Amino acid sequence: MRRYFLPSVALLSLAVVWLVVWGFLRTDKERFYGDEFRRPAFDFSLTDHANREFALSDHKGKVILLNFGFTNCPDICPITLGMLGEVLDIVKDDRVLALFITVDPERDTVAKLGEYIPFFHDHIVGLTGSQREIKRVNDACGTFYSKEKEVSEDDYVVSHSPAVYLIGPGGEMTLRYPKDKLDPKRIAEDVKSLLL
Amino acid sequence: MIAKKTLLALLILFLTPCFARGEEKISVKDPWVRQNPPGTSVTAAYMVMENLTASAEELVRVSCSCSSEASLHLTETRDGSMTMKKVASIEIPPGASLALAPGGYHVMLTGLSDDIGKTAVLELQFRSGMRISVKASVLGPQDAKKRESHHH
Repeated sequence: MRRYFLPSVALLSLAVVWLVVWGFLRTDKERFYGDEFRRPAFDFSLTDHANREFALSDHKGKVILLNFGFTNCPDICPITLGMLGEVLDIVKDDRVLALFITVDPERDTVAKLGEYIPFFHDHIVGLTGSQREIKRVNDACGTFYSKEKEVSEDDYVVSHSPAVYLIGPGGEMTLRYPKDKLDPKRIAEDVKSLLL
Repeated sequence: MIAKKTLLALLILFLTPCFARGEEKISVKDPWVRQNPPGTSVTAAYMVMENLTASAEELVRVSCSCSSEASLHLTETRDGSMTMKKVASIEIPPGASLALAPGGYHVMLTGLSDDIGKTAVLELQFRSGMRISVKASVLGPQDAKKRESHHH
């Protein structure tokens, strides 16, 4: 009996250590639904769809969900906006903001966004501004946009990132949701855990 | 004599489904048009097409009662950026189903009025010359979400 005692204790403690390490690695890896996308804090200044100045640095302490698009986009932008509206409805907290930044400031004026945005949700903020400032936000997200003339001679679409980016309460880029990770319920869980 | 008539009747009975099937060569399910947000004149139409014929069919043209123009488009990702490209036609292999769905193939509708109403008529034209008319529901954001949730 005694000769089994030591090996048993050793094996058991090894199992415990392994479980703790495994558990730790696992929870760290699966803490968020979104992909880890850590970038330092940055700032931008744009105009919202009610014609007010919007600076990112004025919204510290909030969780911000940001996406790019344009109002003439028939397929993907309305889907993402509908999804963001759902996240806002699930979280129901003033400390979360959903931003739609146009990549087509030539056509998407403040007035145009003012008509378009409230169709999806009362609390989504539509933003427009100079090409320089819009490019700065794209750069911070590591993405780009460009005009594509493939639709017709006098019309164009603007290719852009379909992802949603999450900026944490400290103003730093934290998570990225690629186009196959746009489940509103699970994004809402990430937002809630960051607001705690 | 009676046996002959019965035989003929039975023959007709068995052949009828063949004719009925022949009439509907492509079945179109759940056609819908995304309600265009205020101030915009573009949107998209979606549906599922099932090819019940023995040969491939190709959708070449669509027109809609709600828009001045309609074209076939594919949303695709290029270097991490999402864009749309015009396609000349969409092929449906024999016996197969093809979905025009959010984030993939769709009919892009341009030149819409501000309020397109609750329904729209889509006319589909195939390479073989076949034409099909379908009535599509116009769905606002809430109802569109229910249809889209299958594709997420």
